Formats: sequence, structure tokens, C-alpha cells
Amino acid sequence: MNGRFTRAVVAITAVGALAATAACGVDSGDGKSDDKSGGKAKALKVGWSTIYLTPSWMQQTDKMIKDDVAKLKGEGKVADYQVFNANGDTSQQIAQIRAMIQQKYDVILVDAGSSTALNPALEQAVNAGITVANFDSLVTSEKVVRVGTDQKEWGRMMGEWLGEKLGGKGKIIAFNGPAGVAVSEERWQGAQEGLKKYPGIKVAANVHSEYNLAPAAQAFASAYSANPDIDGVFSQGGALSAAALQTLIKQKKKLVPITGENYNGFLKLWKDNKAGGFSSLSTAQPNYLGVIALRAAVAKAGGDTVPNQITVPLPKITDDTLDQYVKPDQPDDSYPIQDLPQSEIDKLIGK
Amino acid sequence: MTLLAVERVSKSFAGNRVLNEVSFDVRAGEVLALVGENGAGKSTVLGLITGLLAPDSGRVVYDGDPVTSWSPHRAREVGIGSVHQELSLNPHQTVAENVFLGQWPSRRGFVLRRDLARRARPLLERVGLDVDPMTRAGRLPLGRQQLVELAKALASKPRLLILDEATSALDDDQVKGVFTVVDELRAAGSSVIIVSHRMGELFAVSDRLTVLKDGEVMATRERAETGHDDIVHLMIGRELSDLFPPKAGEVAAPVEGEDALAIPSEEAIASDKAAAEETPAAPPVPAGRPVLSARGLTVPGACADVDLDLEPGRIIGLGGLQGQGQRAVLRALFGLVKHTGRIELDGRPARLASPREAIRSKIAYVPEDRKVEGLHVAQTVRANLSLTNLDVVTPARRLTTVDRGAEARLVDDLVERMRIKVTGPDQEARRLSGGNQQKVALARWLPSRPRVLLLAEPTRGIDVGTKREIYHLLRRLADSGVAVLVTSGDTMELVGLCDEVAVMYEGAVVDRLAGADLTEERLVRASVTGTEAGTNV
Amino acid sequence: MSERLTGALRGNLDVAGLGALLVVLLAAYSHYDSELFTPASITILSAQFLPLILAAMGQSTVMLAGGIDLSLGSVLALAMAVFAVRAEDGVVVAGALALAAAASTGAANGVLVAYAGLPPIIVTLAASFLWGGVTLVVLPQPGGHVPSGLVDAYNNGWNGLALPVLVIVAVLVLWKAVRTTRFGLSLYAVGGNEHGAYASGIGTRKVKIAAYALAGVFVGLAGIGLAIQTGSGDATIGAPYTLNSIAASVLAGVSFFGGVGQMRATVLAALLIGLLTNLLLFTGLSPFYQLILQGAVLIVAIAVKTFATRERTD
Repeated sequence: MNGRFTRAVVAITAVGALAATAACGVDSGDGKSDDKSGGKAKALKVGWSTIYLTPSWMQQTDKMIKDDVAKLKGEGKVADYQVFNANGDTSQQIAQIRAMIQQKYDVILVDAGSSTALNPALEQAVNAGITVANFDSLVTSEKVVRVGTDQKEWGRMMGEWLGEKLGGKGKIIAFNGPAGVAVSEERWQGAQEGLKKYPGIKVAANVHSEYNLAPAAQAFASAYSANPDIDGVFSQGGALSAAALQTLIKQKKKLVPITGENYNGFLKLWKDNKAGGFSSLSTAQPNYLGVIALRAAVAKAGGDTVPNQITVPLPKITDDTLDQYVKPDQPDDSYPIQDLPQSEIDKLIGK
Repeated sequence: MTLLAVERVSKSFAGNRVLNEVSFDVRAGEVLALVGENGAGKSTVLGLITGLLAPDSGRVVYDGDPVTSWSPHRAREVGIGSVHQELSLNPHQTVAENVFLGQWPSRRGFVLRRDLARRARPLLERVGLDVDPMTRAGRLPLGRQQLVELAKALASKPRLLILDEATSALDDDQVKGVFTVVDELRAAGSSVIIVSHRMGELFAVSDRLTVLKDGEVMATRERAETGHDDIVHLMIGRELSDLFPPKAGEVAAPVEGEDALAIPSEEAIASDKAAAEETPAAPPVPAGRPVLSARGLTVPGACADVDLDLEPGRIIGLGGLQGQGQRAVLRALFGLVKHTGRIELDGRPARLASPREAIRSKIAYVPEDRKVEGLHVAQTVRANLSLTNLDVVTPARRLTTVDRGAEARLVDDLVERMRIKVTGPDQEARRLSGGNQQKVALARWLPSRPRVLLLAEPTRGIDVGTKREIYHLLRRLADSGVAVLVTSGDTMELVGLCDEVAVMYEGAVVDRLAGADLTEERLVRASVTGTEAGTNV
Repeated sequence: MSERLTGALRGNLDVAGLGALLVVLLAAYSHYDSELFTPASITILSAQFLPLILAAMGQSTVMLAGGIDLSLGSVLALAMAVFAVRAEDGVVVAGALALAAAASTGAANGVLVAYAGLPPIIVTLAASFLWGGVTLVVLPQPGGHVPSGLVDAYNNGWNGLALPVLVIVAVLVLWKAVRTTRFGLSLYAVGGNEHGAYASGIGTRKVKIAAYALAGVFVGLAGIGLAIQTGSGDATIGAPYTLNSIAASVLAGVSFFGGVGQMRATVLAALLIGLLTNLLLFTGLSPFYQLILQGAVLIVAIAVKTFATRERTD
């Protein structure tokens, strides 16, 4: 009769087949979730929704959580663990949380893409009886367990160390993250509070840069050429610190104290130049935030009382402890961290 | 009473004067035919009247008021409707929606489909169109779409209707229907401007005829006081000059400046080193034995049953009105369109299913639209010239890089011998003038030494000097044993250049003119009547 | 026989095909979520899908007129920010302001496209940075506050009514009405054959500007929906909607060249994309494989659709 009609039939058949395939994919994924519920207390179904999964920090966090999940599975406390990557799309993250609610997850872990947008979805999860623990990038809702670090404290700690190191006197460059970014602003506020105790310290320049090596190196080089006589650098990110230290090394200038972070590239430089008189204090956004959140949520789901706000102390990497952290065999773009002893974790989650 | 007066209007495009002080008028209740060859300026005049274009100088007076800030919207508002050869329908909307395109009748702001269909029906009946108004316009055949255009023009109840080749896709019955509408309009006091290549139609329906040539009005004649011959003479109205080289078999009359012209011989153009060793370049094929012959060549919907014999040393023309299938013949012979019929190369059956096969058979094609098919306009002259000659510039054939030295020799040689005006081989092709672009489009084929050269509209948009160069070049190529096939809408060009012209009409060859029979009058007559010129005299 | 039958079938092939796919997806979905067809589930899901559906309708509007809007995500975020910042002063006022902002940015896009003579893809790409910056000025950090009663009613139903569904139905009715106005017909005419429309006396520039403005209204509604769904505003949340809305429009059969497409198919396609993403979340596949599968399904669906609706050219 005519080819067009045939094509229409073919098309509809094909669409049907396609959808059926999609459905089969669903079937094959089904059924494996509740095969392990044999213990006395119910083993939990845990999901982690993260705004990004590809950055190395996230990869390390993912691995740490997975290792801990394996332990908990051995103890019969966790039955199933699933990761959801929103790939930068906050709406997608909302969809993931809703899907977890519908699928009756017991525990939802969240690294949030927006400090406010997830609130209704997360609160809905809480109302549905799900234990929600949020870590790293935090939401503003107070109904969920939030596990984070104090960014102001980060700045304050660094500011105070620098002031003391310089003996309360001298010129420094402040090397901050992009203007207007919340984390950067908070750390700088903290640093200013810390430096207040040392009125003899003058901030010669306040430089902003992205948390990336290349733009940071450029930004620092131009600020440094205008102020070659500085006595120290307040830097609030690992890549920033590495850029600053590299500049000093390249120009064969005096290696003044620079604050830092557990960015392996910086730690390696630090180790190489420690003998040359370089000194630093570094801290970290620890990957074990995820593990703490997991432990807190599991404890809470098991009936224990867990504080809603858990502030994890910032680790200190000093000239003395540097060797425990630095990993010369690993790439620059990694964040070496020591595991937190279980006793510390238990203390934080109120056990 | 005069409804529309065009007063001393001039218009140029990119420095090229298309209209020069054109004046004519249209009276109320009159049908005026606008006649002229392709490129005479008819479409430009109509564009000025319908508001698509604005004149450089002069003015258009409509209904007693000089027209200022004209736009299609204004033109339509004051009652000018038009049907163009180029359709303005939206193929995705229904016939009814198209009929009222831009002025849909609405009730409280809403356009009701049923209402639209109901109102469209009488208009469709009036133009003799029996279609469901809810059909998508794009699903109708071309002729019916043209009638929808007419219905659309009538929907605005025009006082002046412009029919620009509006019957080109219609059959006889449909044309009669259109003329009935024209008669009705005239009887009701409206005016019509009609443009058509079909002379018979114009004489059947018009009251007066205005003849345009080269952007100027030659004359305006009452229909009763003129005839076909008079009009055709006015349309052509020019003398053959020394533009053209002598034809095959004629003795070359010494032409002044011929040496200076330095048209490249074939050997010279084939810059390959081997070329120097081979003399003579192409063995002269005995005349009368075609290199390529086609029998019953048919491209569905474009041309049917065309017989052609292309012989070495001869330039064959394909004449006729625009769009009678000439282009399809060329494209078929170059393997660009699917075709049926028997094709023989040197007496052996051949299949030309793709340009690749055609090129391998030493057939070259210089298309009509240089900018789309003929050249890579964004690339350099060098790249354009070497791309078709990779065998020359990569001496070790495949898998080697381009030999820059050989490439430079090839390009320099072609540029010099073809006298292509470039700032250098790295000039982009789009920066060249039309004539020089055409030279590049032609030159890129020469090193591969084609045996058959197909050219579509080889001199369109090219100045006279370059035209002359190209005519002489084509003749030299023919003399060296190439068979040339040319299509052209320029009758003078065909008559002056070709040894024989096959006249096409609606896809078929209706007449073949050669020798003393090959005159502009006979060519035009055969083109417009669609019959052998002899039978109609 | 079949001229009329196949014509009708072809005319609705997009809708029919998408509908068939939707039925299969829903069947698979309900296999997972047995409460899918309860009012609560429908409310939650529709609240989740509303922004994408409305954004896709905006994108389709522009595409029907022969354009494309790469600034859609930024405009959506702007409307969201305006609404979230002003919501405490009164939801109605905030909504009106957000819609006005979105419609006027849309109209500004239209003016640029109509008068700058540049391809819409370039103009709207540039505009996306412009409106993104304006949004950051309005709301530098995530925040604002939408009254919790509204958030609750929207996400969990209001007297048993799924508000988002009502909104979608209302917007479809609005579109149906617009479609039958002169403007609606002009929109399709300009998209289908711009030169022809101009030669027929249609003010093609005005039509384009109006099309972008109307798209702005749809996108503004999407932004308001997202603000209510999340209870706040966030300047960075809109970006993914640009490409997702294009994907939905293309899947729905809206032509990149304009003039062809049906809004109900767009709604179905956006719903489909949303459901498919959700369904993949259920599969337990690794997140990276989910992305691969999502892309593959989209490509296959679009290829099948294109194949099925291709005009015969021979």
C-alpha cells in the first residue's frame, strides 16, 4: 500500500521495543535489594546523593564510604548502598531524593548542590521517617543531621598561626578564593578575626583567584611582584598555596611561611623545601565527613540519639606531622588524609 | 484612470545597475503584460511594487499617492496582491491557513479552524481548486500550490493583482481557470500585471505589453497593434558583436587582440610535466563519432526522453525557457541525479551513477551555482585548484602529503594562463569577482584533461570582457578535442557560441537548431511556443 | 483509501509514539513504585516535572518560530530568584514580578534576534551570560524564602488536588487559545517560511519578539514552580534546563527549522524524559552507566522518530 504507513508501524513497534528494553533494565536491577535482611535489627538501605562524583575529592570520599559500608554490611547493619550522581544539576538531585523516598530507603546521605533548594525534599524525607545526614556542602534545614567543618575556624586557625609565626609583625599577602563564594568569604572572615590579635601584621594585598593552579599562579605572581618584601602568605586553599610556594621557589626568593591545605601537590613541595626553611600549617576538608555522616545516620536509624549539628574538628598538618600525610607516589590532585579512629567518630556522634 | 505609475525608477545591486529610469503605468481595469528576457529586470520591478525592495531613485505612485516607506504589509493593505514563481506558502500549515496567511479572520481574537475552512472554500472554487482546505499545503503538487497562492492573493480582494510566472507549473485547464479569474477582475475594475515566458498566454489575456530589456523599457504596445515577432524583436533588440569566436569548421577570422588574450591551449593548461612530452595533447577524434551519447535520458519530474550526441570539437547548447529540464540533463550526465536511459561512452554502454564515476570517465561539470557546488568559497584559490587535481600535487599518489612545489607550479600556471585576477594563491575564493570565480571553477578541471565538459550558465553575472574570454576559451577547448555541452538562459550566448542548440520545453527536446537555422528569433520562438520553430512560422 | 488515514496517523505520530512509550514507561515504573497512581505520588511527581515541562514549552515556542533559546536556564533562574526574594511580601506580587521579569528578558532576547540579524544561537548564548549575571545581582547567594504553606500545598497537594497538574493543564489550555489567535498562526507561518510570511504582510519581527516573550512567560512559570518546589531561590540551579528543554522539544518532534511541532507532544516528551531519569535511578545501575543509558535511549528514540516521520524526497 504505502511506505509511509509501513514506516509508522515500524516506528511504533520500535518505540515499543525500546521502552521494553528500558523496562527489562529495570527488572534486572530489581530484587537484589532486600536479599540480605536476616539479622536481628533490620539492615538498612542506604543511598548517597551527591552533586558531583567526578572530582578527586569526591572519588576519595566515595571510596571511603564504600569501605565503611563493607564493614557495616559485615556487621549486618547495612543491606544495600547506592550512589546517585546529580552531575551538577540540583533539580536532578531533588529527583534523586524523591526517588529514594519512594523506594523506601532508610538512610539518605547528601552532599548538597544548593544550600536551600533541597530543603523541602529533605524535610519530606525526614517526615517519611527516613534518616537524612548531610555532609560537606551543607543545607540550611535544621531537620537533618549536618556534618561539616567550621570554615571560619579554618581561617582563624590559619590567621593565628601566621601571626604567631611572624612574631606579630610584618607584611603578608592574603590569597583568597573567588570573590562572592561563600566558603572563601567565611574563611577570610575567620582569618581577619585571628589576625586581630596581631595588630603589627599588615595585609599588603588581598588577591582573589579560582581554586586552580594556573589562574592562582598568575594572580599570585602579579601581587608578589608589587610586594616582593612580604613576610608571609595567608592562603586558604591547597592549589593557591602550591601556586604561591612555586612562585617563590622559581624566583629563588626567601621561602616565607604560607598556610595551606592537604592538596598533595602542595604537601610535596612543602616536604621538598622543609630543609630549606619553609614552614606551613595546613588543614583539610576531611573525606571522613562522609563516613561520620554514615555512622551518625546508622546510629540514629538504630534508635540512638545523635546531635543534629556535628562540627568535625579540622585536622592540623604541621612541620612535624607532614610526613604522615604527604604521599610522594600519588598525583598532585589528591587529598591525603589520615583515617579518623572509630573512637573519635563515636565521640562526635554522641555515643 | 491610472492606478499605478512607475516613474523613472532606478535600482542597483552591489554596484550593478539592474533598472535604469524605468517608467510605465497600469490603468484601472487593465491587464498589463511585462515582457523581457531573463535578467531584463522584471522581478526587480515587481519587487519594488510589492514593497520587497525600495528604489534607489524615482518613485512608484499608487492610486494618486506617491508610495513611501513601502513594505509587503502596506502593499497588501492598500490592495496589492501578488503570486510569485517562488512560493510564499508555509508547507506545514493547512491550505486554509495559507489562503489567509497573515490576515486570518478572527472572532474576538480567536481564529477558528472551521471558520477558516468555510471562508477559504469559495476562494478555492474560484481558482478552480478542488482540495480539502484542511490539507497541509506542502502535500499538494506544485501546480496546486500555485493555485493556492492565487486564492491567497484573491483573499485580500486586490485592486492590483500581480502574476509573476504564476502559471509556470500549471496545466492548460488550470491556466484557463486562472485567465477566467483575470477576466473577472478586469470586469470588476481591478488591474492585473502579468509576467510569463509563454508568449501565447500573454497575447491571450493582456491589454497592453511593456517590453523590458537590460533594465530599460523598450516600448509599450497595445495588444491589437503588435504581434509575436514585434515583441520578440524588442526583447532581443541587439546586434551580435565580435564577442564570439568562430564556430567549428569556420575559418578563424583574425580577431584584434586575440594574441593578447592568450587563451591557454590544452597542452599548456595540463601543467603536469608529462604534458610537455605528449604532443599533440589529445589525439584528434574523427568528427561525427560522439564521445558521449545519450538515448532516452529521463530524470523523473525534470526531463524525459532526451537524446544527445556530444562530439569532440563541437559545442552543443541546451536552450529554452528557464527550468525546462536543462539543468537535470547536465546533472544526470555528471551522475548527480538518478536517471534512466542509455548512455554510451565511445560507443560502449556506460553507467554514470555518481560524480566519481563521471570524473573517472573524464567528464567535468561546472555548475550553475558557483558558490554552492562549483567552488569551496571559504577556501583559498590554491586549495580550490589543487583539490580536483590531487593526482598532480601528490605525485606518489595515495598516502603521501601534498607536494607544495608541484602544487605551486600547478596553481601559478593556471592562474597565469587563465588570467585569473587574484592577489595571490592564498586569496579566498569568495573575495573574487564573479568572473574570476567562474574562471577558477573552470580552471580546476583542466589539468585532468576532460573529454566532456558540462557547463551550466557559464557566464551568468559576469561582465562582458570576461564573457568574451570564457567564450574563446571554450572554443579553444573544443578545438583541442573536447566535447562541450552548455545550458544558458541567454539566447544570444547560445546562438553566438554553439554549433547546435537543442531547445527544451517541459522536459523534452522540441527542436534542434544548427547552421543558418540557429538564430535568436527562431530560438526564442521555439522556446516560448514549445514547438519546432519551423512549424509555427 | 489511506490518504486521509495515514495523514491523520502521521499528523499524530509524535503524540501517538510518545504516548505508547509513556505507557510502557509507566508500566515499568509502577512495577517499582506500586503507589505510582495514588494522588500523593502523582502530586509529588508532577511537582518535580513541572519546571521541565514548562521550560520545554518555552523552548518549543521559540523553536516553532524558527529560533532557539540558549538563555532559557538563566531566565528560569532569574524568575526563580525574583520570586524567592519577593515571596515574603506576597506571593501574588512576587509571581507577577517574576513573570514580568521573565517575559521582558524574553522580549529582549527577541529584539536582539529580530534586529541584530545574528543567528539566535549566538544571540541567546550571549544573553545567557547577561541574564545569569543579572540573576546573581538579584540573589548573590542561595536564599529567599517561599511561605512554607505554599511549598507544602504545592509539593504535597492542596485539599487533595495536585496543583502542578492543574497548572500544566491550565497552561496547555492557554497555549491552545494562543495557537488559535492570529499571533499563533503567525508563529507557525514565520517558522515555516519566514520569507513567505514577510511577503504576505506579516510583521515577522514583531512575531519573533512576541514568541520569545511568550516563551519567557512559560519559562518564568517554570522558575516560579521551581522556587515553590525548593522553597527558595538559587542562581545556579537553572543551567541544566537549557539543554534538557531542547532535548524534550526535539524528542517531541519540534523542528529545528521551525514551523513544525505540537505542544502536547512537548509536554509528553518532557514528562517522558523526567520519568526515564527517575526510572534509571531505580535500576541500581552505577551513576555513570545511567548517564550512558539515558543518552542512548534519547538518541534511539529521536532516530526512530525521525525515521518514521521523514518526508519522502524521492
